[in-house]
Amino acid sequence: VSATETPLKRVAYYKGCLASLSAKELDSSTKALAPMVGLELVELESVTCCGAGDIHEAEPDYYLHLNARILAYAEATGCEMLMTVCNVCTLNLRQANFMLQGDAELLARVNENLETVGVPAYSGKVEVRHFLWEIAEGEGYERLKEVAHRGLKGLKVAPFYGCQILRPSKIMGFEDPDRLVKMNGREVYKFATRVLVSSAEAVLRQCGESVEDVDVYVPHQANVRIIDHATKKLGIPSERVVINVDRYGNTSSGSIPLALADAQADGRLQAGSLVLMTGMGAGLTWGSALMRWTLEAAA
Amino acid sequence: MQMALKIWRYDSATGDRALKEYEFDAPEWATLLDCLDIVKDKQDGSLAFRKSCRMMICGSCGMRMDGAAVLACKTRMYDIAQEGRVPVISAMGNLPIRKDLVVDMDPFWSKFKAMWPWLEPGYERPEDGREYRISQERMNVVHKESLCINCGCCVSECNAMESDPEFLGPQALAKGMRFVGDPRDGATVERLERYNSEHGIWDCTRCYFCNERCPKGVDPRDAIAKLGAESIRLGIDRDMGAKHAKWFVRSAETTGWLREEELIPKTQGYVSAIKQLKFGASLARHGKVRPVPVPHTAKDVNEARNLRKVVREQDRQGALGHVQGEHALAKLDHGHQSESLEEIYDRPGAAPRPWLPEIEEETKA
Repeated sequence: VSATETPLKRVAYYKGCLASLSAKELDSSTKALAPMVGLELVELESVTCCGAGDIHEAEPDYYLHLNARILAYAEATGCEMLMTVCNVCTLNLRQANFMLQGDAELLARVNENLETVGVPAYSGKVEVRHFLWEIAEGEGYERLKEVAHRGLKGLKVAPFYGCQILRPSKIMGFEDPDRLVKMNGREVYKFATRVLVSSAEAVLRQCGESVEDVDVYVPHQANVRIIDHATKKLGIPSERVVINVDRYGNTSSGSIPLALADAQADGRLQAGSLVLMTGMGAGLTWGSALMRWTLEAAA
Repeated sequence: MQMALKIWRYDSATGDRALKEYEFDAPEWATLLDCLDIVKDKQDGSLAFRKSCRMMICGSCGMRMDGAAVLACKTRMYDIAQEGRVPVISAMGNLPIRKDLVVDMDPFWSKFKAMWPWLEPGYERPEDGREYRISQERMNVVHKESLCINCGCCVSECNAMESDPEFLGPQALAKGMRFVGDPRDGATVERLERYNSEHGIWDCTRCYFCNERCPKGVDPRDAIAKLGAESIRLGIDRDMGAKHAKWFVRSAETTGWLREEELIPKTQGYVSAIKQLKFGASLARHGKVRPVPVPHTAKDVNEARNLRKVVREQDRQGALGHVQGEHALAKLDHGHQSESLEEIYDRPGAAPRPWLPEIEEETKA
């Protein structure tokens, strides 16, 4: 039986404040993705803000009761899990849940107060989990593999985790807050030097020109080590290479045009010069162009 | 067991900096501090690090292992040696390095002193002429804060201090709570006024790194939250951070959901909000501001409103509201949810139950 044929798991969905307004993409993408990874969202109606770090700090007793109320309404849906999409909501709700689960006296007092204002009692049996956890492991992960159009193998990412999805780890309890993703700087360096050389060679081959014919070489100005390595590999004499990263730094998409302007200004570019340009950058993309310069050199 | 360490060597006099690797044989029970002793003793006597008690009470040997602050004497190396990992040891963050693993603690102590780390007596002598006795309930308020050994591991990791070196920081503020929460202290309001100033409690970013790294279970972030709660309870709320927090409370009891559009004017004031109108207009273009100021009201919001009235009558305002959850949350530290001590001490491998007078009385009875 394929995973997509098994019934969806019902979860109480708490979207919180920001996913309702300024981060509404979070809500719409969650609703689009949830059924694909096996979740049926039961959106909670009678719930409020979890209080963020703010009510937790300023009025901790009110924070506990607001969150207990959310947990109580989640339990009333008959779902075993309360699913969040915001890190701060996740910490608030998990923390309040542990407080209530680990202290029978406190739970009794909170339930008495909930009853006074007409909220159903909370038994302490709901589990609070982040949507990302549901697709990072277990059945959600298996289903994600089935529906994903493109794999993630080899994808290079710059992660921003956010604080409260990791810490305090005793409350979040999902992953090691220190060892998540490996930085792969060496791989980026290897990639950059490889494609600078291979794409330059390919464009020269297609145009029927050789390295010796290149008068001016303008690589993307990411760093000098990469440029030096590529120049040596290609066999281009260093006086034909334009470098300005030492003066302007890496100006990303502006780096080749700026370097061309420099070469034009100092007379290295003449009408008839053969110019080889190679760029590489974000998403790990690359490309080369060979151009016959037509503008007269600067006076 | 065979061990290796990579240590960042540094000399502030010359500015020389180098990552050096040391290989050596260490006993299986060795801590990071034992390993450093072996390196200094047998390989390089010029290696500088602080140490004293070797048993997690003096707070001298704070340093970083693989980028995370640890007490060297608390860190056992057996598992790392088994994995064949070579950890990188460096000095703590957020403090200037003097030599190798030794940091300049002066900025740390000057913030510590700024908290008035002494008792300002403000209590009446008990009528029976005996010493002043603190109830267990009041002691619970400052119990965790009292455990601090001033090692600086929390300061090393503090994100807020990285962007604002003058931020008082987790250690100093936890120390401040230790006195604010002390019923014998007579300077509570003066202290809170002081801690509420710029670079004070509301500058914490709530990243929870201090709680994560503290080797003694002080949970400095929770101490800062207690100071925030005490400030609000006593009406010390001029800081933007306090106003920000109060707007969340106001939102929860009026509409249920955060009244996001009004958050900036209510926190930073109307002048500042007007300066940000361009940003607001751009949000509006993307449908992220409600066109008419009709609040997004939660269903049954009157329950949330009444709930606040009910809880405010129950005398758990301020730090007590935070303290009431500590008993349950401490169970997470010790990996159990059990209520009964017998059950905990009966677990396989558990430490023997300490002697307590009432147990003996029970046995006699």
